[in-house]
Amino acid sequence: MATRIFSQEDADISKISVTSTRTRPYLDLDLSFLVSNTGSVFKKTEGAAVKQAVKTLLNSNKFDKPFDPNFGIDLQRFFFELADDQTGNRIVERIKSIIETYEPRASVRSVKVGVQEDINAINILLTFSIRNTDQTITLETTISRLR
Amino acid sequence: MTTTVKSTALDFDAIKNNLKTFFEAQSEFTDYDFEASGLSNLLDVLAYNTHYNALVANYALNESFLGTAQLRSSIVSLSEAIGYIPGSRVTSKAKVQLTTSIGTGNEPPTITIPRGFKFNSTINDVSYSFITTEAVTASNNQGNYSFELPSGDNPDRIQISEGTLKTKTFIVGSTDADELYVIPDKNLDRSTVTVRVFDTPSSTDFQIYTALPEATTINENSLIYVLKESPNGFYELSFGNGNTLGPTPEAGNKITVEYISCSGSIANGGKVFTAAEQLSVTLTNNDIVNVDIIASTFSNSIGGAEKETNNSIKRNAPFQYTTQNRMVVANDYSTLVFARFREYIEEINAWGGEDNDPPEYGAVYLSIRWNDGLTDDEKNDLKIEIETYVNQLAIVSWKLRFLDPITTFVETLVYYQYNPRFTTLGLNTIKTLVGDAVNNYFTNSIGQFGQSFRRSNLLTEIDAVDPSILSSRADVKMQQRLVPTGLNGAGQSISLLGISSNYNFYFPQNIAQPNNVDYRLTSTLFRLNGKTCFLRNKLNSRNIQVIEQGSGNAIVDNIGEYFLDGRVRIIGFAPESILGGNNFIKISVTPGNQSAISPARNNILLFDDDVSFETPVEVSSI
Repeated sequence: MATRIFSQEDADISKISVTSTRTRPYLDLDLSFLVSNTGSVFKKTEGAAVKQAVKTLLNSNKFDKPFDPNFGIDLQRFFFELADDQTGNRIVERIKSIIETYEPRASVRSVKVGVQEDINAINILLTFSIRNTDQTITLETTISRLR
Repeated sequence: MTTTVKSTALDFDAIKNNLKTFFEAQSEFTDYDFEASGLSNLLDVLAYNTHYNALVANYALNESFLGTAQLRSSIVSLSEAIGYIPGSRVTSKAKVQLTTSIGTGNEPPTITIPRGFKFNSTINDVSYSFITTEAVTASNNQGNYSFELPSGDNPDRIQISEGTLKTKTFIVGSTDADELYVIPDKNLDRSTVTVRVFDTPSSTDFQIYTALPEATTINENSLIYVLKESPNGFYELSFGNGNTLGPTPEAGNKITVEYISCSGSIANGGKVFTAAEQLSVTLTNNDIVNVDIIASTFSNSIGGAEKETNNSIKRNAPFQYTTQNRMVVANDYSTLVFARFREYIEEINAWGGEDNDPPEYGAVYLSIRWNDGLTDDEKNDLKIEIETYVNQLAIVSWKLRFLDPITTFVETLVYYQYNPRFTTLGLNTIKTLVGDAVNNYFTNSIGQFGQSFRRSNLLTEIDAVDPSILSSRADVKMQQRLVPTGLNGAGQSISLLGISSNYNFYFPQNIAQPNNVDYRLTSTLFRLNGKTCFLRNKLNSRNIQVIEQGSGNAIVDNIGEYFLDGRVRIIGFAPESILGGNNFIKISVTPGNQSAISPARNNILLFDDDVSFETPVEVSSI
């Protein structure tokens, strides 16, 4: 029987899965590393695990992760440049783009960014849903310069 | 099911993937493959740490072996462990005649130029300082003085060395401390070092210590020093252990180290030397006058060399170890002579007389490719020095023979089938790539003693250039060059153009049998009897004829012959001039076996790309 070869652009479509359900639970470490009653560390599950991952992205800067210099939303950068009317938009685009790349479980619904240049702070209100679930999570955080 | 972490990976990504594979088999945590998850961040730390340790271990292990070490400090240290002393910079040396004249009537009977007297020479627009390496004296000859060395065959040929004479003084502290005396100079020439040990700092009596490689015996009384290159490129001086390896200077002794700090190879090629100072001379009436010293050059500055390179150390140290500093087998001769005279030698080959053609039992043959810039006289002087050196280290007194390298050029006519359907490259690009492949093959494969030409390897390189090249073949010839020069009775080189002379050639491979189709021997053009001619063998014969270009008539029917064993003899040949802009006639022969040409002994192969061509043959077949 002949072997079918597909172009690089199309890849091998005979092996591409079209499954739309999920059987594996999301189970992650709780980065607070608190000890539970059983003696092991606490875990984050499902939506909480994804929320923790999105928080990690918000708090990470470029070059934080070894061998992956683009990882992280890199909010720190925006504190050290002159704020203008486009700063908020640029932050929104960056958040959407990085979450899409690094956190495929989250689907961004909306991002609101308030840049308070007077006090060197950025307010972020991020709403995202967990793919393949009906769960929607809102994450609000304010990031500011210490000095 | 995977139950253990694979530990073979070294790269960060591979290590992290192995950790992920481990987690795939566990149900405790499942978010390992989401890059932003906490687990993934933890895996990053683990993988980075593992990668870092693997890298350090890899470097450390590589640096532990001579074959894989990259840092000079490691290479030097490892080579010293097997008794090899890496070469330092070497000062460039020139030979000059030094004269002066004093016209006062109160000339002293002798005057002396001290050691360290300075001369200047400009090389490539940069001025370099040269110094006398020992005191030289001249006697009065009617007010004229010509300086001479205290001894030697040519005492008027005075050596001057590039660089600056420097002295370092150390006072020995506690002998319990195992002191190393640091000479912070990367430009030191090891061969110029003189170590003196004085009893006290004010004493004038001293003992001279000898460098370890020059020691013939070592016992408790041997005055030996060891000069090592330190990890930062400086030098460190140490002495024996105080008993079996010779005495060590005692506390309170003064050590002086005198040496030349030099510029190495960039000071080669100095032609004119001018005294940088005047010589102060005390006349017989006790007046003091300053006189000019005139330097006439006998030989340009040569022999300057850089520190031995890492690759050279890695290549030579194991061979030096096998020689154990004595000459027994042929390789010992080439290794030790090269190590001692490396600043003059590009390449060296040695073989026993029993392997020579014809055999000469009880002899060792050396063939040396000298560095550029050496005159014939200098080469002859070096051969004498090499003989003296060999006599010191040879276990058995074999006769030493020198043979000049014989260069045989390889000519190739390459034809390759090319189907343009199989490539996006144009024909000109393919031609260029094939030409580059041929040149690369010859550059990398021949040019040194013992390197063979193999036609199949060349064709493999050509076939690999592009998928559009379907096949290739090559016709191969060997070529040597007839240079019509010789020596007259006084040993001077003269032109033999127009003078009937005999020429012999020895090709490193058999020559093909004559037949009635192909000419096995041909040459480039020359003028004879007022006609443009070339040499060619007669079909079905090994006899060589002189053929007139154009008419094809034989001007001389038999001017020599070729032999199947590779010899070519041309007798009574008197070309009037050579055409083509060269000062030589190329003699090309077809080898009996075109598959390979393996030069032995003093033969070296080179590529003649002037007469080598690559021809594409366009085809539509596959």
